[in-house]
Amino acid sequence: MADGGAPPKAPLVEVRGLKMHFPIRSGLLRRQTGAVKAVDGVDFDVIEGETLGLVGESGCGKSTCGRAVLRLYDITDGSIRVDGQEIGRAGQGRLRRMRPTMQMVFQDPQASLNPRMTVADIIREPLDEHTKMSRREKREKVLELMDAVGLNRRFAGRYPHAFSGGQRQRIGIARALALNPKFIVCDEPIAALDVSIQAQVVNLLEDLQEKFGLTYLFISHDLSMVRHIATRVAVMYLGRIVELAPREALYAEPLHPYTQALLSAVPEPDPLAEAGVKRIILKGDVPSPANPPKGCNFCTRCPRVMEICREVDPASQEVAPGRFVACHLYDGSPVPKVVAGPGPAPRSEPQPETTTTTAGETAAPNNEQRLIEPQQGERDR
Amino acid sequence: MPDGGAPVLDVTGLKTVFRTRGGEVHAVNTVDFHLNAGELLGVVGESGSGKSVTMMSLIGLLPTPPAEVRAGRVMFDGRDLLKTDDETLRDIRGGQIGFVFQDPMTSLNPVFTVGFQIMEPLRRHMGMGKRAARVRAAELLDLVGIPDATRRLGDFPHQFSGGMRQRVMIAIALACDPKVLIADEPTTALDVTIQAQILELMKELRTKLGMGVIWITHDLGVIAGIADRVMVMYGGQVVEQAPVRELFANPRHPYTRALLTTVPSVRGERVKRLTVIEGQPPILSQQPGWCPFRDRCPHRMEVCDRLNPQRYPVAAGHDAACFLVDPGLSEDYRPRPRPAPQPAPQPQPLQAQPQPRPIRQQPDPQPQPQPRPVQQQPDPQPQPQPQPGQKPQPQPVQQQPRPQSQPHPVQQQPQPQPKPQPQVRPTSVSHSFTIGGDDG
Repeated sequence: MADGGAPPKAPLVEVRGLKMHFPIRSGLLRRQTGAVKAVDGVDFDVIEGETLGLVGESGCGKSTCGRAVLRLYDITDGSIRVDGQEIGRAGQGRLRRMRPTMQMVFQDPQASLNPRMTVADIIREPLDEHTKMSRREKREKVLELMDAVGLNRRFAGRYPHAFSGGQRQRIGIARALALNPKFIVCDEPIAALDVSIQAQVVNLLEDLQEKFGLTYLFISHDLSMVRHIATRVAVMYLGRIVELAPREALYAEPLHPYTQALLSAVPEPDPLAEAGVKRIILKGDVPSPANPPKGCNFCTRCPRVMEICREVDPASQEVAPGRFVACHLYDGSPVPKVVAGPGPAPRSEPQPETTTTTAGETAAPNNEQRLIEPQQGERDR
Repeated sequence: MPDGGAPVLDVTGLKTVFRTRGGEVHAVNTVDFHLNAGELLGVVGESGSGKSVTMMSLIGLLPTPPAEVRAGRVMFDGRDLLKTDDETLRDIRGGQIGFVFQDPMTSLNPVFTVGFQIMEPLRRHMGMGKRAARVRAAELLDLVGIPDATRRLGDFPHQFSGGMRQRVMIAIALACDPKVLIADEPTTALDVTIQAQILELMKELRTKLGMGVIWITHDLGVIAGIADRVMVMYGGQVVEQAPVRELFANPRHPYTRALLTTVPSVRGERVKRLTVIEGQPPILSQQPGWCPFRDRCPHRMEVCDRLNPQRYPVAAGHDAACFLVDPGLSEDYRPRPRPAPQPAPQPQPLQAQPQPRPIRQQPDPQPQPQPRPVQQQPDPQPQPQPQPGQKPQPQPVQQQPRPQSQPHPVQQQPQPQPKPQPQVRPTSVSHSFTIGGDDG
């Protein structure tokens, strides 16, 4: 159990107020008429040696956030410190010198590998760019890396098309490791893989983390896989982090209504337990990030929406050590009872305070919550 | 609900081959299954396991130059769909058999309004007039939970979100009150919260409309929540088939077992390390005369290289294509009965499982003859014990044995290995005992 037990280490990555807006241009002069607020004010730290899981549904800005942190975009606003260096406003030259510390594993191993380069070329490219190794050293390093990610050395001369999805993802991982980075952003590294292959890649990532002392930002929409790999988890919704907490606490007792709905929506691979899952079915769809609702971003779908939610954007607050929630339900009272106990805490309603929606029937017809609760099924696999 | 009635759809010996430049790919190999009226059959498998191709073959949706349905019989509504002409097939597709595809973004035509696309099958199959079709289309949209249905008929697909588009697809599939709905990964492209909405909708609709549904997915969680019966596919074959609770409580095929343990859960205990199925799924360039899972199987035996196992019944409505459950094989091959994690609700004798294969127990009088050839003739021997339940019959599930099984009897006679217990031990047993440990 990495969380809790480990002494608080210094954050390797500090992100403050990160904003990434993409302009919408229209008209003859292509003037900017709006912006897609893909990431709209995000704060988080990634502690050295940990895996921070970043989850959310498609379009919530999690991938943009990951790419922005590596400065693959010119960010709109905010500060990013990686390994003590501010890179939020850094120019290309300085960024280039920083690149070896921070690397990325991309989602689609098919698209992120050049089909005209052999595996050895692909893995060697970062070494060509950033080091002054001799040819022989590079060759040796490439083979070492292939060993590390479980690729057969004999395949060094093959092209990516000759590999399966899982093996291609291993090539992508080897390339990311080439420069001995400290921090790797894994952007949905397993989304394109089959179930039985996903486990192989996740185990590999864990092994490598242990071996090389890596720090991951693990972006995924797969909540069960994130639960497996992450130390702490940040949940994004429409460009914001709505909840950030240690893994056990978050999964045992999610605080934000969105996290609750999200977790309850995940189907359980066990028919008996499945029958006992209390499911919160959200109505409607995610609003457009070009035109987010006033107040809390989640207010249009929130089953526990209050009047204040439609007016005031909730700030992220620390309701328990290490647990951050951006929700008006937790205004004022620093939830005392949330002590992330390890047991399967019943998913109780976090706050007895005024919960049911009282006002604003007009604005949101979606605010009733359907609970399907047959008998509580217990599982023990 | 499984009401045990006559199957609406009965598939036997289906075989589909793709001709590619690199040679033939045997995507579907002798697949047998049936769908009962009002039942939801879940089909699970990885990509390339042949689950989609199977369903597309049924109703002639595969482009014929590369694909070719080599053999099989698909009985639906009293006729063989593989033998019907295109015109009749066109009437059945979209009429009596509805289809929902994986990707709602690409399966709707972007240049027609949603209303037009829902009305199309109504007018084509039901012979409705424009006005009547329009009224019915609005009803359907309403049925699948799209608010303000009448107005939205005039909208184009791009004006709907992903989840809404999938609802439209479902409305189209339901338009003509199909007897069978085939849903091919209908929620895979959707987010979990939207997926939860669609699953709820499907459960509702199924009770309302009482159709048989085939739900293809790779997500065991979805299956657990929605299916009555599950069929697991691997390498173009059905490797296991059982009622849903039985399958999850008592998986018998090593692949199913592995699959169930590789998937982490958001609830319950968190495992330290994920179980891995090593290796890659096979690409079948020829009709496999061996078990397609052998390369990744922790219990690989010598037989697995020689023969392709047929589906042996292991409990009521439960069968698995694995020599481990072949009642003709020695006791030593068998995995220890798994301590069923939950008391399975099935009244069937799960616990009784271990004993019904007593065939080998007695120092058998006649060494060879019984085990496999039994399938062919109603044999006299293996009955000596009064077995509980119906399982001991080693017949294949479907009447006619798959072609590969023809060789079985032949090889059986001379074959010495699998039966005499003593020799067997050294080779395979060491593996087979890990079984219980893996998943316990």
